Amino acid sequence: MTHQAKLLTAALVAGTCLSAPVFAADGTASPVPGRTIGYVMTSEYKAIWDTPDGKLECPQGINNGPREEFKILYPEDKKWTILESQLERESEVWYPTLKPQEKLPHYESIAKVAFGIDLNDKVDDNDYTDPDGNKGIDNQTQRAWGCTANYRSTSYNLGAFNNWRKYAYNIIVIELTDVDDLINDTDVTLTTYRGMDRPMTDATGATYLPGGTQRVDMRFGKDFVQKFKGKIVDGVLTTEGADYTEPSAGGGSNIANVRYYGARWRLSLTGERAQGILGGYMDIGDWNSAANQTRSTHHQAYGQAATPSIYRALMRNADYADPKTGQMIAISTAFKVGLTQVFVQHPVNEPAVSANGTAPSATSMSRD
Amino acid sequence: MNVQYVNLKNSGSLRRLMAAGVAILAVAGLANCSAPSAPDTAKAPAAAASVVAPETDDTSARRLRLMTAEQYRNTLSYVFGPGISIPTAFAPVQRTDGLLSVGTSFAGITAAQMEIYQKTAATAAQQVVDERNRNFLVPCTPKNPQAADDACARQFLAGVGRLVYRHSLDQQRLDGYVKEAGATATRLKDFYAGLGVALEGVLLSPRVLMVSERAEADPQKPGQQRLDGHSLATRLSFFLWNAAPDDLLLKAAETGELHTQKGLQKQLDRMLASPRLEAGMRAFFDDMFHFEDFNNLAKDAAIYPVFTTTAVQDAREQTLRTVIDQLITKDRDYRDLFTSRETFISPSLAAIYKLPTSPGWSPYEFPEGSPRMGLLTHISFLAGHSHPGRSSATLRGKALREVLLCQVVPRPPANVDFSAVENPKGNLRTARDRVNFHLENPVCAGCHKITDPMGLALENFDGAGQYRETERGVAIDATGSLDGKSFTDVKGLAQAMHDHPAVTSCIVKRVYAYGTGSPTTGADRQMLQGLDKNFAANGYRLRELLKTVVMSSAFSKVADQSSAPAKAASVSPSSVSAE
Repeated sequence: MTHQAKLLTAALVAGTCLSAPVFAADGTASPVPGRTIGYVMTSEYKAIWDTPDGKLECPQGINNGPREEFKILYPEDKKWTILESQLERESEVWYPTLKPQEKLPHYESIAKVAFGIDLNDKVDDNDYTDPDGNKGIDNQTQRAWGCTANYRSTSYNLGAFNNWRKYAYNIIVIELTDVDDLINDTDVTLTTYRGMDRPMTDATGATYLPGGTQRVDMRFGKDFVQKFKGKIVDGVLTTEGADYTEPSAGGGSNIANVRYYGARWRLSLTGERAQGILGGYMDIGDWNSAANQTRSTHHQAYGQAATPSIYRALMRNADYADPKTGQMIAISTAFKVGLTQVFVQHPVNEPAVSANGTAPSATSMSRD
Repeated sequence: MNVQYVNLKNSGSLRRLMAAGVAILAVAGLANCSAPSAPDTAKAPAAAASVVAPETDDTSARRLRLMTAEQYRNTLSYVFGPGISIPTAFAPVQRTDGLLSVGTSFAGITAAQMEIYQKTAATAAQQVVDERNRNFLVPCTPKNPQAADDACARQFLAGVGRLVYRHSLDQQRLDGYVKEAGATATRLKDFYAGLGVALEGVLLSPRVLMVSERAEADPQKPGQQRLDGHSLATRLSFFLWNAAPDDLLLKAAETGELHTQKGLQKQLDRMLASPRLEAGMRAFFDDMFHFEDFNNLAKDAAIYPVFTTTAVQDAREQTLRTVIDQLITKDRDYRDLFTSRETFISPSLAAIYKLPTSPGWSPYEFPEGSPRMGLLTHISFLAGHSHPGRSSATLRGKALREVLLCQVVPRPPANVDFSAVENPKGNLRTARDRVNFHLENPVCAGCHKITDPMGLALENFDGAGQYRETERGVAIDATGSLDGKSFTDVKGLAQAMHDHPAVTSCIVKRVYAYGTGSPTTGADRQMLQGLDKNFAANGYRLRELLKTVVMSSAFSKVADQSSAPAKAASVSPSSVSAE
């Protein structure tokens, strides 16, 4: 072996999850060589329970978007200055208030069913039951987002962050360690990272391929590293809660980070794929910044998503208080996520995990 | 656009090339191409060559070859720098005696091909005289950039013309180009536009696009012919660099140095030490391994989703990188290519190999115990010689015979009934089942016995080159044999190839044919045997083989074709049994 090849091989052995999963004929995997398996996120959708016509959960109809609201606020029968109209509205987008807006009703979903995870191990009055009958589901964004076209499964869905190959910033990698068995294991660890490589697609470009390699960013990406304790039962991983910061990107490579407090994962695992739910209490200020930084009003208008009204709805339904101030700052939410197996490559001489179980440090995004 | 049209219509180059367009290039047409005798170099002291060439009076045939697109690109890149982009592709030629490069001696020129040449020359010329490049590519500044400047045009065209023509332009031809540049510059009030049009004419010249070998009397061997200095330089350069000669090589040709043992050895050593050797040898192996097939290789995306278009290109690149690394950079035994675990991987290939990797290309060594070993387990071989939706022991065996052992497997008869082996509901679950079915039919068995026993040893790899242990739920039996050697798996096949005498004689044959541009014939047998022995004596090192071929008599001496029949007329068919 050449010196160069030896170095590379040594680096790979030292820094990479070399354990190629054993794939069973049915696509499932059981024992995991090396006790480690990685995945990269390849789909993430807001988990909204809805019906095709929306009459059941949104009897008052679907919410207006930015264009409709603008027309209501600034009717054409009067001449408006830019300061009175566009700039005022722009200010409201970036610095939303909780001041009631009678002219701009925001309809909330009245569904009794929601996707999600029980984030607080309690069954409260406001909790949902998921389609599988599990009670105590914490997902108040079902109410706040449920009648907004943008986030519904039947509509043009800007909430579908399917930008994994378009942007470099929002590559989300998870690594499961201490895995003895992908079907049943009482003690595993899920660690999140920001990946540095665009996920690989198949020959058609339509499907993400397992078997790629993701280098994890331990230089600028430490904010995204978090460790979750978990267990696997009948091929489904569930984790305990931990605070998690997720990188997001969109709209011409604009980036933003969103904090989720007490986040949890529930994933069905195979050697090639993982899919399920990422839940948590989403920081509403982060959400507002991210929504507007990564999507222009123009694009939000396609899906009738007016962030000032949505912000008020999120705050109205917020169910997580800042432990220090007691102020409501976050709302329970859930995302349907899909992940594809990758080999995770850690930097040489870099500890694989540096998270300490507390909230990652504040990002550049500020809450209002 | 009008500028090009008007001036090309006036271009003598285009008319000359058009006139030649319908001709089939063949050696017979070169019978009267002898050049005046070169300076007598017979008295030059003989060099102490590091490689002992076979002591023979062997000769090769003179050729008129069509330059390939890659040779054209390489040449312009070396003359003008890598910033000149030549994106067009020339028409394919027919593979002859296992090599496309030999097929360039049998190529024709169609009207459509003419158009490609014209566009290519125009594209290159425009870039050279473009404002961004002219200050460092044109060695002089016109007195008035809006008028003709014959002196500056002459300086540029004489220098460039010598490099792309592969000899100095004669006065009359140079005068014509200068006049063309001046007339266009005057008409368009733009010196560089005129220069561009003249350069386009140079690059479109038949003497540039066609590599014509010229002979002269050999002063050391009265009555015999040798390539003249420029032709020898050109043959040498296209052989080792896949590009036209550089200034130093042309000077060696012009001074007669190249016709001395010492001079030839000096240039050979210089060329072998040049980074251009890598491009030259990549071209050779790309040709020998039939890698042009990768331009059209496709797999069923539903069956092999991992076999992406990137993987197709990377598979080709992986093998070329490996070969160059092993044979040129590390100067290793050619036979070790079949057993070495060292290679390079890219992210798209790593997904097929199920390995982690880093972005870009990385050196990688498959561990002991891995089924990956040698060229036969590269994705380029496994996927390149499979069906779009499944592996093929037959195609792999055939390729092994024809590409790597220089043998010829007869084509199947036209009326083969494939229904029995292609019936998905049949009970033929594995490739071995299908092969056994072939062997039951005497009509099929004759050829399948030649190809299948070694192809079956590769059945642990599917049609995309992915490792597998079962096919349709049945454990794969990878036993096989090759010319009397039996083995139980691909490692055995790799070793059998490593030890097969035809592996080394095949590359000797290909290298010689590639270097001289001629298909080998039965008459070359003795000379090739000498090269074989020399190759063995030098530890099967490719660099030594290149030296031996270049220093051989046959490389620089040519048959007197005014009296002898053209070699091109007799491409001897070889077959498994014959070789």
